[in-house]
Amino acid sequence: MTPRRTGSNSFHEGVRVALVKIVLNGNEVAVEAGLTVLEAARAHGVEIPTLCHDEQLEPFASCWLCAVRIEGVRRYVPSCATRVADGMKVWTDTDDVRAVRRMALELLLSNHRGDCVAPCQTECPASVDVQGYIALIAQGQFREAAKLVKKVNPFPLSIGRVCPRPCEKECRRNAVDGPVGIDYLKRFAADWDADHDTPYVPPVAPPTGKRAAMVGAGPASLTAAYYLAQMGHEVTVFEALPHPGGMLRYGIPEYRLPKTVLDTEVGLITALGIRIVYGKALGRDFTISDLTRQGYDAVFLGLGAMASRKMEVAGEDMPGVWSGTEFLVDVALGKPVKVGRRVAVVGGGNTAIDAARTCVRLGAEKVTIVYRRSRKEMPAWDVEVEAAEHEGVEMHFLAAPTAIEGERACGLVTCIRMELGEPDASGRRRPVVVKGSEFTVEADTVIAAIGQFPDLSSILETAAKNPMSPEARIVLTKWGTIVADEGSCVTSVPGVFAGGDVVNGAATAIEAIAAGGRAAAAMDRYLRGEDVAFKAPSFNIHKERWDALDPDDLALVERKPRQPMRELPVGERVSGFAEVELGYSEQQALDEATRCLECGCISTFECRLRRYAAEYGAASDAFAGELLRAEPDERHPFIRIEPEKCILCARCIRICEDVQGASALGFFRRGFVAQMKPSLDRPLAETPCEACGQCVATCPTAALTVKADAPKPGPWDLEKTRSVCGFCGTGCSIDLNTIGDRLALVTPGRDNLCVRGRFGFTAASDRLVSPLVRRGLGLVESGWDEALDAAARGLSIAPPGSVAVFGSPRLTNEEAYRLKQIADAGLAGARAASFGLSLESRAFGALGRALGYAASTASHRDVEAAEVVLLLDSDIAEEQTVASISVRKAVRRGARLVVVSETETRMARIADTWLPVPRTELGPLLAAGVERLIASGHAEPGRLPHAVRGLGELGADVASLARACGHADAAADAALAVAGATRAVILANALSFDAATVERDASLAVLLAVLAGKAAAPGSGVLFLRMRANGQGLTDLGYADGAAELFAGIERGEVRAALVAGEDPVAGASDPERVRAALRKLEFLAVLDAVPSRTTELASVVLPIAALAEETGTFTNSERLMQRVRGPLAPAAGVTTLGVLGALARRLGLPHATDAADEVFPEMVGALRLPVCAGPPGPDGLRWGGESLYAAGPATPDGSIHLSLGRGDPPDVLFDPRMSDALEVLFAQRAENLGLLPHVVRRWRVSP
Amino acid sequence: MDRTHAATEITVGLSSCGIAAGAAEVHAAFAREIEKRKIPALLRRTGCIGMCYREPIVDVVLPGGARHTYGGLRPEQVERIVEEHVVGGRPVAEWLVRAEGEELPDEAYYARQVRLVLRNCGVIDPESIDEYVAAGGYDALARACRGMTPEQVIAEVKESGLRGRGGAGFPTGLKWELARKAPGTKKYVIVNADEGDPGAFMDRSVLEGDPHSVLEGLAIAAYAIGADEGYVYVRAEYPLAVKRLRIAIADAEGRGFLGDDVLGTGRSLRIHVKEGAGAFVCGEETALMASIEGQRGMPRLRPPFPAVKGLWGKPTNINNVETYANVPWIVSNGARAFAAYGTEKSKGTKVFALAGKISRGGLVEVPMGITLREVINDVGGGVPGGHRFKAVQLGGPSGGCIPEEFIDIPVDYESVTQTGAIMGSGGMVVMDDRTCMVDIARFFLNFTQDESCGKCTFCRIGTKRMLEILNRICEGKGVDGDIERLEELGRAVVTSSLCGLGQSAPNPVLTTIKYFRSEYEAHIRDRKCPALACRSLLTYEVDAAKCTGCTLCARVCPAGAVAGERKKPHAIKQELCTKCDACRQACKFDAIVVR
Repeated sequence: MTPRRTGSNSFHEGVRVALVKIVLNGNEVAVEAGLTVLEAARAHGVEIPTLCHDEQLEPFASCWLCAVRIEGVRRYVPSCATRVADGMKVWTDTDDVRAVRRMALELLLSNHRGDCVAPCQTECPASVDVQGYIALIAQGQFREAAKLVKKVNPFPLSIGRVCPRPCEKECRRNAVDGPVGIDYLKRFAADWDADHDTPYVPPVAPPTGKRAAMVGAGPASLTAAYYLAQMGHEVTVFEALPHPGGMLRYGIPEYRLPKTVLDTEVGLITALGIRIVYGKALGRDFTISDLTRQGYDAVFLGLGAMASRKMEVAGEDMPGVWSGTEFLVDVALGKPVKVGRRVAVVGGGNTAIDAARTCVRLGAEKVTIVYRRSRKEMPAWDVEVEAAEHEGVEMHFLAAPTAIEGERACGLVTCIRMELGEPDASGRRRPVVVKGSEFTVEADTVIAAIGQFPDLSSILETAAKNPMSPEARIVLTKWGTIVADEGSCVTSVPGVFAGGDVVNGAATAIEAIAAGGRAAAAMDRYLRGEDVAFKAPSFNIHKERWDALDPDDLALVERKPRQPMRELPVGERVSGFAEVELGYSEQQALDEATRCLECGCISTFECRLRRYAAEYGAASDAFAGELLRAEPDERHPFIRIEPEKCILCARCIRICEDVQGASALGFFRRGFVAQMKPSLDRPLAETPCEACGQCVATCPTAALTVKADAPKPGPWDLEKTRSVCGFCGTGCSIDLNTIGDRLALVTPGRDNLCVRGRFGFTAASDRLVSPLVRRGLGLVESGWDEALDAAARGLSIAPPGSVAVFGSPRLTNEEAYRLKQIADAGLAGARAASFGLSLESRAFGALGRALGYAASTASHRDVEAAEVVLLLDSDIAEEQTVASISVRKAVRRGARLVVVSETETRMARIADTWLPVPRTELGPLLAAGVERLIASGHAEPGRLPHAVRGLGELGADVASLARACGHADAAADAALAVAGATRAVILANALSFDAATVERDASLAVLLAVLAGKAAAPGSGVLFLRMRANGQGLTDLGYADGAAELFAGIERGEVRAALVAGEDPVAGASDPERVRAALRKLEFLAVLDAVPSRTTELASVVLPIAALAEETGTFTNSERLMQRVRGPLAPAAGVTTLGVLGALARRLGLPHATDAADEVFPEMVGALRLPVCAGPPGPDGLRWGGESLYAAGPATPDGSIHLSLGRGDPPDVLFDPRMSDALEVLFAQRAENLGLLPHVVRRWRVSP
Repeated sequence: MDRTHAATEITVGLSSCGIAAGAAEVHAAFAREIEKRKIPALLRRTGCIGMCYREPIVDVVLPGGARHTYGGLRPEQVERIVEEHVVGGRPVAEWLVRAEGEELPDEAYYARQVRLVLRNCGVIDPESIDEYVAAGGYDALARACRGMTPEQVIAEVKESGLRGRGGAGFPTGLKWELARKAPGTKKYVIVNADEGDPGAFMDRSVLEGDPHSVLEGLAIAAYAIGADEGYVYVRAEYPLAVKRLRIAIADAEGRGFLGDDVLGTGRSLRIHVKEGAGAFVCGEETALMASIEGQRGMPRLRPPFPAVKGLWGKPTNINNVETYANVPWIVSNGARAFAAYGTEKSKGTKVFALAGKISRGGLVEVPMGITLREVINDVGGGVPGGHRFKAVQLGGPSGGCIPEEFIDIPVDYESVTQTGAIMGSGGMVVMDDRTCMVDIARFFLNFTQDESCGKCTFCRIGTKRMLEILNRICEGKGVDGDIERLEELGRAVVTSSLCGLGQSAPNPVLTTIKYFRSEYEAHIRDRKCPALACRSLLTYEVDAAKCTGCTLCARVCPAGAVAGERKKPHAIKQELCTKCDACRQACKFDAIVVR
């Protein structure tokens, strides 16, 4: 296949940039010629939206979100693909341009099917992230679940008990086998949080100096108080009654919401520093003006709706007749309330049921509910009505009282039958009197619970007294509620806010909480002097309601009934006020959580389509029409495809082809039914998919997502920690996405990741969490002190010189430094080496001998900008996928690529020249190239920038090798191409060379570069890729060579004790039995590792260490770039690797060894005998030696280049340079998952 | 020309249209008859003669005699023609459609035509390079590369005023000049033969009837811009054109007109035939080039234009078949001779595929500037069957409908564009009063919607939503605001799409709304289709005064919707009627009324 060549406009290095002038939204600005309008606008701070553009890709121009108007052009123009021209007048944000973008969004949305957030969340007045907290419960993160609920609802203990659960009515599981126990799960998480050591209390922002007064201590006020306090405002709550909670306390009986639970909840709220003043009533004790005088900057009125509606019947004022709220408040306050033998409760709401059930508990013999409509119309919660029936409450439906009679106190209630007529304004059928149908009910107590309303007498009285008072200026409705804006809770008086029942009339607690949340946001803006009416743009698209869904949609869902709530037996219930519902057990909660259908979109927090739809006010139904329907495709082990969410931006298709070179995705069909699909419509895993995840990373919606490695995937607004991938030496930037103490996802930090970085991390079940010491034949758990003492003692028994220390090339620089220090000082000259570096260091040694440093001289940027790349290819597209992308970029720019490889690798396929040469013949090939350079005069004095020594001695060897080359002409051509280019790079890794001749062949590669004048020239060089994350760092610290020698020493019995940190030499060896036998000879073996390995089995002492997501420190990559490693998670065994090494060091006579990576870094840098700039690495890392390593000449002692072919004695036991060890992963490998892709596992196979 | 008049010549039009009408069978019948009778007649084939309404067409020329043309022949008529005309020397008058020196009615079809592009079509054997050369073929190429500099060739083409016949009408000479001046040593020329408009077939006819004229034009262009490689991108659905092209290329290479050393000039020109898979969008030049490169046929934003950055990133000249076919004529006859035809800004001729409600449909070539009325009435013979002319659709599915009020506009780029239609590649569909303009807009939009490559949001989804609205209107489910929404969407699709397909796809909708808005309103408000074409909106009723109660309608009704007593007027139950029209067709008394 001919590679597609396109000139890049983004590469300007070394070229003077021409400027043109354009007029951007009326302002003349100078921009770089060749930029697109989009890039030029961004450079001047003007954001233009785009869905289909990715900076890594050539412009495509399909989504039209980036449309702009250019004066003189009739049509709109996609700014991502339009280059600036001198004098161009561009308008990026006019009304007409915004209208085009909105219509583009609306058209895309008209064929985009899904739920941005699940219906349970949309239905919740407070918009609690139900799916999120259920997913957290499913993975056992109960406190995180409570924390998530408390982002919008500070009352999960209470709401988890009393909410009427509008969410569950909308739950799509209704269409399967009944709704998920959403509220029960919320209660479970809240109970768990409250019951386990320190319950969650959110952090509080620094004080703002502003003060807010909340009137009333009900759910609305306390919610507003909770969030205002978190924002740093000082909050005081004024409550007329002696206890907090409002209707949660007085409207809900003990057996549903125990007062102790409510007290706990309020306690967690006031823990933020909120003061509640009891016994102070508005109107009676203070006015709004008083609050202002006392220095309160804002006031919230959360007065509730505590007044009861009258029945308007004769005898209503008779003793024995109560209002529902009055009755419940008195019971709640512990007043001695006496009820009669026979009680009649009038009304059909929750208050009526609560009053009835309370009467049962107070000893009434017979409790009857009289309700004027039928059971179906009862506003009370179904489960409550059922519970009341279970407890023996009788119901008279379609009946209403007309009179109450009795001597002195009531005794008889006359009722009349009703029938249902036409629906009224509320949509319920209106009850109509049936004439002459009177009947009587015996009752010595009558409780009227037919409705509540706010008691605003306090406000009206103040208003009457002082017409200029704020109270007088508060506008009320004709129903006696306060008028307040729904979104911001602003009343007619500036600075006075109101919410909850006092605005809504009697409603649910969750509605009051929702109002409190909105009020807090608005009051915060008010206190900061911002626009109170601000409404954050939001957008949600939804599928059909559960009862309108196509039944096939849920046909495959496994039937699994809802976990029942454990309840107190009826017999025990009615005798007292003990809580009836007992909550879920942990197991029940875990089981119930798995029932969630995960309706909400996994990309809800990142989706660009959603973000722009909100920003541009797009409507999801503006162009409703036919939708393209297709099932989600879950067949790939890591990637899910949801065709119904695809907007056909083709970013995935293009990134897969142009950047990754895999072409696993393509377009299918034309017109409206055009679709993105895996190539040839096969399952994605059966295409050339590399599972690099680039398609997922670039997808602007959720058409491509990562399949979760957890029972439920969230979505959550994940915390990102920027770190470095721990696999190979490319050092890709990664973001560790965590929720609570779990890693949810790894995403690319900057550009690219391969399958290992993206999907190679997972939680392991077999982490070492405590030290082990050998007792007899087995290893047993021990304490840290015991194990560390044993390790220090064991390593010290052997005389100096007979101890060896091995470190993994995946230790951080700080850890490797400390380990080396232990070897050098703690163990008096023990030698330090690395099994993982044993092959690699021979290749790098060639660079070190010739030029001074065992480090590559070129960078990936040099590769990208090179004119000629000579790739000695061990299949880097497989081994170091991301590094191969820079070669691909060079080829796209027009570079000449010469590939030497035994098989037709993916790089060979895009090469201009492919030399099919086995590794064993690489030496002769390079020698032939060197010969030609010598023959054409490149070695003559004056041709080379530096003095060269040793060439004469090599001549004969090179000549005889060259004679064995079967591709002499091609080799000569390649060598001359390298020499003839201004910028050329020779690229290889340890596996490019045959193990037997690695030193010689790597030296020849360096020799070729030297003679071609490219070894150390700016923009050119030799780039040997490191096989593991910190191979360069360990080399820099002096771990260069010697693992083979030390191993031989172990075999000979000269080395008697060893410390192995993070390596598993048994597993990585070509002859595991021989290594095992050798290690058994040691008198003492201490092994540090994160998981049990074949080497830990042989250890005398095993010390657990941390894994990547738990590490802090630095790695140095193949390009000498020191980059920060950051771990957001706590070490599994409670101690960091540096901590373990520090503790060991202190026991070995190094008292000043500290455990903090930041403190070790300068110490470590100081110990490096390298040109390192001062200061810690910034966001882009710190490159030692600078961009051009030998700008001042070779770093050899005499300043000249030394040429030799090395010693050439091959080791007889080989350690695979790709040797896997536990440190490369976060917790442990998920190789078994990677094995799901056959062509991916192929490259994972550890070869001897 | 290598033809003697020693023998009788029988020439059968064997283009795809002729073959489809049975010309191959007629040809075989002549062959059998000649063989049987051992007559020394020369049986020839030729390409499309143009009178599609008369296919299969056969010319008979007796030695030294006049040309007699038979139309609509069936194999069984062949024996008599051979018997009477070839042997007996007496033409069969009742089957003749044209005869040299006689005024048959079909003569009018040719009277107004000027055949420059079609100069050899229907005359020479397209598979014979000798016949092409005998007709003066490749003289222009020789003249260009031996006697003119590339700049002179370009100047000649510029002076001729030739504009791209693919639809946009970009000046051809200027396009060549841009490609000539673009830096680079490697350049390409491409023939766009991806004729995708339903109803247009002039490119096919030229390739089938005179492939060398296109190759010669291409070779002249290659010389002019400095290209050494070319492609003919042709629909795979045109197998005969592909076959004849391949023969022509091989023959031209054999004669040194193409290949390594073109006419001894030392320049080479390699021509490849690339068969397209029938995607309409590949007629768009950037999509066409992507397709040649092996990518999915998807347009990209221009600039950069192909003249600067075209195939494989190299400067490229793309013209369509008709444009190239004009070039040899211009070089041979001079720019002035060409410019003598046409109007100030539109020179030369234009080939149209005349179709629809027209008496004489076929391939016609007329000078620019002739009025639509002349084309439709004089050349095409007007609307047949006593119906009234209503509109003419120009420019294929991306074109527009021009109403009767503009029927006197001259056919030139500017005048046509002013009406909201486009010249396009030359599809001309005539509509009469039985054509529903909503339905016709729906028909064309359905095509473009299907053929959208799917790249741009507005074209992919916007046209789909427009189509849904049109479907709704035609089904009698239109709502207030639908027309405005169509206009709003249509304008957005036009202004926010990358390529010509999207930019013009709403044209049929926008022009029919512009000129026939009341028809849309009737569908939406009155639930009526004035042209009685939208079935869902029709009502079938029995005219009691005319009904004799013969019961025929009741018997043919498949839905059992007609009922009535014998000898008494019948009635149609509307709730059962499926509007299949069976009753109306069956009724002998015109008693079924459709409203």
